[in-house]
Amino acid sequence: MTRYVLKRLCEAVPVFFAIVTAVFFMVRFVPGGPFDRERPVSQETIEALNAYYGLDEPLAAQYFKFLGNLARGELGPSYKYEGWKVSEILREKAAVSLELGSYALALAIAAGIALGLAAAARGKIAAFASGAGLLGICLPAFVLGPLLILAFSTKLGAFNSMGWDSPSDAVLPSATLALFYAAWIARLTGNSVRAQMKMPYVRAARAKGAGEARILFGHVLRNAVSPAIAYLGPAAAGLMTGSFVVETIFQIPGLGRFFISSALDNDYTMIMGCVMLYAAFIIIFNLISDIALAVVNPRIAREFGK
Amino acid sequence: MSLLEVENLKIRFDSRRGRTEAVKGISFEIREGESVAIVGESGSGKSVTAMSLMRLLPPPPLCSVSGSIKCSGLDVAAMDEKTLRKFRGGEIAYIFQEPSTSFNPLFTVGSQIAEAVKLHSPRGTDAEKAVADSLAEVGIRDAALRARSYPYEMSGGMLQRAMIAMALACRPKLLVADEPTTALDVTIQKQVIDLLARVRKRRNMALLLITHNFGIISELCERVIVMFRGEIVETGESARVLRDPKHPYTRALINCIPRIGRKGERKLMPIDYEKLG
Repeated sequence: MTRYVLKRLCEAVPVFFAIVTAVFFMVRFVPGGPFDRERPVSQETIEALNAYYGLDEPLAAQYFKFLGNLARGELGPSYKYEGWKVSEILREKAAVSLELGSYALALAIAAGIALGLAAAARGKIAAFASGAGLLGICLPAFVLGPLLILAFSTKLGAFNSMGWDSPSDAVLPSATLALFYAAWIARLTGNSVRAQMKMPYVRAARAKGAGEARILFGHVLRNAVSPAIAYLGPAAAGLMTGSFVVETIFQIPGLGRFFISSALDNDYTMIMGCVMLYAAFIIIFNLISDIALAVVNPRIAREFGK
Repeated sequence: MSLLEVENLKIRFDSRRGRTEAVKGISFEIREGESVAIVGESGSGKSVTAMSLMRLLPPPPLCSVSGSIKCSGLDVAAMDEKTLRKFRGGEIAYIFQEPSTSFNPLFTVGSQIAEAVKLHSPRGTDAEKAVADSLAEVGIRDAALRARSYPYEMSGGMLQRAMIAMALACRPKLLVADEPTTALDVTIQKQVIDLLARVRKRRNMALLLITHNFGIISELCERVIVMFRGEIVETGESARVLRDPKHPYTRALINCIPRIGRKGERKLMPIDYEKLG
């Protein structure tokens, strides 16, 4: 098991390196630079800034300097937010996004699996659960968020409409963030429960006297969660790095908006920071999801030994 | 004494494509300790008859069962959920055709047998010992080790033995074996049949064998019921039926048994349905 994890992490190093390299050069080929503004800035000013940040050096030299800094854990200064290091911004904003993302993830898993099980039942409950699942996938955050604010903040006054100060401020944004993922998990789980219910082992369990609840929770669920677990790897990475839309609607000082703004601002160092963080999250959460799959399925676990 | 009494059993499936009368009013009984075979081809209604004995068929409106099924004097149709759960596996146990998919792939074989034991024994029963005992009874060596194996780690023949062990673990009065050898290769088939014959004698347990294969009946069953298109066309002692079949369909089925003999002595005959009407 430990060997497997180490092997996977080692395999991730070249992938990470390739992503970093590709993004480093791609952002440089995009027209414009970090110091372009709407109002024209004098040529001398830009040249002075470029010289100050080392952007006037040849691209290859900049790339190796970047790698050298990266090896020391140094991500450089942000070109847009004066006086801030990229690592400082990442640390501060990622903490908020991580917290919000964790709530949303927990909510998505709990609601998604419950809804999925309900959708696999018969009759009205199933129809309702399937409908709710479909709605969750179709309803974008920029519609759901304002609707939740309207209902729970404006009308009922139960929560603040925006901000990130009291613990209850996490409720509406995490619900907004979670719905889409919950709906996907519900669909994956529901379909897979329905398929598993037709398997001969279910009939065999019934024949030995197991009740329906025991069959569903004791036998079928463990067989049916694999698609949802596989989906959760990349989904968790997405949730934990924040969402531009949700953070904007609820005015949350998270990381999500930097994914968009850094690219618009040509803030090279910040772009690299965001990309590297996202890549690391993808790698880590996919690994966690693979380990969870092995915990669920002993046959996969045996492959780990090899 | 009669253990199982089936009277005027009718089973009907309704779907959008129409209605199928799978079983059209059959009656039979099985005495305690008796071994009976229901023989028939695919679609003759033999498997659904067996499943209806424990109410394993889909619920109405998909499938409707009428007539009376009594086991040890209890009306199966009238049982509530709790009684039914005790009845399934406790009074009648079931062995399926596909041993490799009839075990849950994610749990050890031993834990699945233990589940059956726990469902039917009083609290405090040593489930682990019961599992080891029943695995040993069906001739699985290293029972304790095998109990910790997952289904994918076992061969089809061994899984079918384990399935029999699971059925026996709850000491049922009747064992229903639905095509227990169809998915196995021929040498293993023989072992499983011998095993069934042995445990049946030792336990004095009744056996209902569902099969399309007349060949395995003579070794295992005292009496045979021949089903064709949802009806019983012939019934009698298996030796008599094999020697002197009365119904043309029975004769046709017996002619389908391949035998090793002199060349050209006898050809395998396909069933001529037009003659049967």
